[in-house]
Order: sequence, then C-alpha cells, then structure tokens
Amino acid sequence: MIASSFEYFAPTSVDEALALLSEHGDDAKILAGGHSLIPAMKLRLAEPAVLIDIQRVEGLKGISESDGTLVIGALTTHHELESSDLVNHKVPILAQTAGEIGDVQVRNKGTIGGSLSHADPAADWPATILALDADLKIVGAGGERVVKATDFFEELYTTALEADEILTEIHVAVPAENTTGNYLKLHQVASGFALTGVAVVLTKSGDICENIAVGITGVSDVPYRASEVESALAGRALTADNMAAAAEKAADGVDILDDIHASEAYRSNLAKVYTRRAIEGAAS
Amino acid sequence: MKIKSDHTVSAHREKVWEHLTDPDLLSQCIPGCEELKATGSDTYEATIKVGVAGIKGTYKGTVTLENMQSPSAYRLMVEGKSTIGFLKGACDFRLEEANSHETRVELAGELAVGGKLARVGQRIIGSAAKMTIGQFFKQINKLVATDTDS
Repeated sequence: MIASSFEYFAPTSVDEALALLSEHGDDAKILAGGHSLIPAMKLRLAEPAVLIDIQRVEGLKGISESDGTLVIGALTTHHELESSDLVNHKVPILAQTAGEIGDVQVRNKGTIGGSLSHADPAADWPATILALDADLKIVGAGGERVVKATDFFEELYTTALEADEILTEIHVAVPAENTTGNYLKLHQVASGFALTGVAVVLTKSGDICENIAVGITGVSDVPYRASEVESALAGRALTADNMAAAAEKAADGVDILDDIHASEAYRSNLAKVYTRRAIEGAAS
Repeated sequence: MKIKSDHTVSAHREKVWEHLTDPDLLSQCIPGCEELKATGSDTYEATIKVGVAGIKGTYKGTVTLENMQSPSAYRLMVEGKSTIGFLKGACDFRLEEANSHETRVELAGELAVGGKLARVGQRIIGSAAKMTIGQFFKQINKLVATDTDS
C-alpha cells in the first residue's frame, strides 16, 4: 500500500532537527532507518503529517571508544554493529545481538537508535542494552541529558524520550576481561521478532558468578531486567543446578504477553528455558 | 479478547462513581477523548483518538452505560470505527470500598477488534488496551486528587 501524504524534511544538523520537532510537535515523526515506521505508514497504521528524516544529520553515525566506553551513534546500522572489529573485540554481545535482528535488508538499513526509540516489545536491542547497563544520551530543546537503560523503557512503545527529544548516542562501558556476554532468542518465524530474547552479561571469578545482568525482551509489554534471576545467582557457584534454579525466576513478577503468536504459559516457559541456556552459554 | 483488571482510586466510592459515569468528567479521563456528547439517557456519541506511539486511530462511535446500580456497578458498552479498523466491547465495572478513603474498581469484559487493525496489530492490541485503561485510571486519580470538595 501507499502511505498517506506527509510533509518531508531532511535536516542536516541536530539543532535543525530539534527546531523542526518543536515546530511540528505531535504531528511529526523522526525517520531513521525507516524499517519500523515506513511499513507502519504503508499499512496506514501510522499517518504522521510530518516526517523529519535524520539520516543526513552529521555526527550521529559510527562507533568509537573513549576512556573505556564504546560510544555508538544512534544512526549506526545493525549491520555496522554486527561487522565492526571494535565491537566484536570489545563488546561482542552487541555484534551477536545485531546479527540476530530481522533479515539482511533490515540489518543494512535499520539503526540501533531507531529501534530503541521505537521500543517494540519484541525488539532485540533492549535486552542487550539493559544487560550492559548502557547509558542513552538524549538531546532536546532544553539541552542534553543521559538516561540509564533501566529507566528508558516505560510502557508499550513508550520510552523516556519526550516528544521534542532525539536519542543521539548509546554509551556502553567496555566490560572487564573476565566478563562474557550471550544473547539468545527464539525467532518468530514470519517476522523474525523475538518471541523471547535473553541477554546475559556474566562476570566470573573462577567458577563463581561474581556478577550477572539479565535483560529480557519479547516476554512482557516492556523489556526488563530479570533481577530475581540475578540475585539468585550472584555470588554462587556456576553449577548446572544453580543456573537452572536461577533461570526458573525469569518471569517472576512480570506481566506476561499473551497473543496469537504465543500464550502466556508458553512465553513464561520460553523465558525460563532461554534464560537457562543463555546463562549456560555465557558461563561456558 | 478478555479484559480483566483492577484499580485503586483514592476517593470515596460515590466520588469515583461520579467520575466514571458523568460525561464531563469521563471525557477528561478517557485518554485521547476529543468529544463525548449525550444523545440519550446514558448514551453518548464519542470521538476518541486512541493508540500507541505513531499507531493511532480516531474512532467515532457510541458509548452506552447500562445496568446502573449506583454506586456499586454498571456495564459500559463501546462501539467504534476508524480508518484502520473497528472495535466493539462490553465491560462490567464493580466498585468496592477498599477502606475509608480508597475505592477498588474491578473491570471484567470482552473487546473485539476487526479490520486492518486486527490483521496486522493483533500482537499488541491486548497490551495497548491494558495501557489505555491504566492511563484512564491514572487520570481519574489525578482528577480526584485535585478535587477539593470530596
């Protein structure tokens, strides 16, 4: 189908984009890679009157390292993250996650910032960004602010971003040497979205789990940190029994999605099984 | 799709009843409500912009309140159409005094969604409905808190 008519702007600077956003407010949508927004517009589910295409905005692309932190521009594509030597070397779970997203076309055009801002409840990035405790840099008319990943996802498709703000950078602290990461998901066959996606970042000291962070997507309205799993395993030996017992808590206290793709009971079980396997993978 | 939830409102049951059934107050609480006009006793014509993120539809339709048992129970019927689909639902509201200053509102009902919205949005309709109901009660709580003559 063909989208409804809209006015199109292609700013080249963040300031210009912000000015357009404040001028058009609720009628405007930011266009990044366009792999969520454009399909929704073609189906006429979304009919924004104004599109602000930020793909030409300077300084929002690329990956660099400074003072032990990876700085990822919001317009960096999934493919760029998947294939970056720096990412593969410093924070391989980011490359692993990127490789699991959608299909080649989506990964070539879709961006990490676009995906995070859209906040689809079954998107992959949120799980990994939560497990890595990333910081999200947001710019608005009122200036800059940094929001922790754990405070970013508020409700279904709703983030801490205000209507006049743009996500510009994702900051990920490079984990210590004895830290490993693992992202494991079950693909919904038709869409490639995560029926369940579990990201584990594990710090080991010998056979002991010194610290663990678990981010889960696809299971609830909002991606979440499985804090019950984390506290059940932190400080304990990484035995098969301990890992399995901790993973059983993957859906504790969570409002679980129930839809035509997966029932509540199935999703709850998926969360536990994928959490156990993701932890085992990170620990091995 | 089934709807089942309960909510706590920080006000007397009579006050909460009033907010749930008075069209002027109701229109302030329904997220995205652009118009709510009485067309008969307990029947209203409504224009509501509802949805999440960029996926919003403006629904035009009717809202009917039935089985009014002030201040403890009633049934809300909704029927509406937009360019992206239609929805039809019935929901029973039960109001109970939780304590001297709080009221528990229990919702139980069914919502049917059709058209394009149902074909492509199935995965999120349940969550979107839950979120909208949550916003509705958040707004009621805000209104009763600023209402000083309660």
